Amino acid sequence: MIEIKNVTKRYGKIAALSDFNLSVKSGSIFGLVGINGAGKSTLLRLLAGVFRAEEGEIFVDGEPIFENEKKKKEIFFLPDEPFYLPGMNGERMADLYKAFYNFDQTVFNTCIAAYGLSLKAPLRTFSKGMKRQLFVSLAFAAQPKYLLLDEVFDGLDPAARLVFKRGLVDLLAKNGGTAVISSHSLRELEDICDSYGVIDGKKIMSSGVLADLLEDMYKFQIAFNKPVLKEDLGFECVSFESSGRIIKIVVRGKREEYLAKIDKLKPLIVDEVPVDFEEFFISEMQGRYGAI
Amino acid sequence: MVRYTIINTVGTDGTVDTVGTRLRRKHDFRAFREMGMGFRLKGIKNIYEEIAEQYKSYIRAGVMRDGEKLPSCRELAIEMGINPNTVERAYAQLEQEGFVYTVPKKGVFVRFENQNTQSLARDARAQIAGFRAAGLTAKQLNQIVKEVFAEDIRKEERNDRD
Repeated sequence: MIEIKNVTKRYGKIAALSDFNLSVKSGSIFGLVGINGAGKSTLLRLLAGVFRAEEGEIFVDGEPIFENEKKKKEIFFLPDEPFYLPGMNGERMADLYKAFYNFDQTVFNTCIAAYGLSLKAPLRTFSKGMKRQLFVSLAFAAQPKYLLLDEVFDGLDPAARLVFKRGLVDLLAKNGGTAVISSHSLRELEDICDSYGVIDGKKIMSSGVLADLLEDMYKFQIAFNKPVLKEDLGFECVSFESSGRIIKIVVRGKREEYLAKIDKLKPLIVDEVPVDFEEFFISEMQGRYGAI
Repeated sequence: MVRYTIINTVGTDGTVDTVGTRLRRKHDFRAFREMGMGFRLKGIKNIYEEIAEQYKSYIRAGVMRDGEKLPSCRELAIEMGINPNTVERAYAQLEQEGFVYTVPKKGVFVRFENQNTQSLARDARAQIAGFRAAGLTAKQLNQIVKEVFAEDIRKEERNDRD
């Protein structure tokens, strides 16, 4: 269990997170989302015990995490830009991580084989995605109780993403661990995560169970024989987009009830469009960026 | 791991059959096909519903038979690279609708005998509404029904004569 209580983290005078509260249940895969600069990486660094919060406290299994050597052995933090010393290769990286973690060589070898990486080649010859593959393998082999992954899908090709997702599910099913993943690949998060949190305005704006979030949300694309305005609908909707005779609406509630209401408007065509995590995110973040 | 035959009727290349559906996660879909799972994520709704729908069609088509074991939640989650809770939710829905039953500590099994036709009728209605919107007339549809049920209709007529 991770608990973040009233945390404020400042860079100089600028606060990245302010009076921030969140708890992540043990055994869950938590997806952390937010626009660029929202504070996702800052939060992960605080959780890893790399940063000290100016105010508030962070507990992992009830213990404060900052400078807590014993607890940090159970945490693996994979940063956005993983660091390695010059002249390192996969083999030497594994040796390095063996010094800190209860390293499982079999898991490591399986991962490396799945990715088809060379352990002898220097890391500087690796592409961005290959480096990520190596660090993911190190993370899985370290068998951590808490896995903190920053932008983990970044650079991974679709097949490598699937290898990663399978490995993660396998690892957590085996050792009952917890993962916190920040990403902009919302489709990937939707596959793998059971819970989510959206950071906005230095705080958690929305969080909960991912399946519940999308449970009662529906999107319809409807065509009429004349232009239709929002006022013509006669019911509330989360979002309304119109391009003349074709409208797109997102609604919350019972699907059948909305279909009946739509039917009364005498539409020509009604199509149900999937509402996914990405759709939700974009509708929540409307207006964060100016129009292009 | 049990492997299932692919019974996709249309769009094995990943294209979609019904108006208004959209293919999502194409790479995942490809991976499933490679595994022989034949799952086709259409992105109509949540992933768990899609898994449930896929199993329903397997069970209806007789690809999965009465008493056959479904893969464990963990197995399927790892295969597909999705959260085990999602698979659990799909199985719970299948159980609620009477397609499968759970034996504690043994697994989840197909139940075919009690299959009510209500959910089939609901699916048929939705499909037909789509055909209607796309321009199929009642007359054309009736003709199709006659063709599909030709055998049954002949049998009925024979019985009536006797």
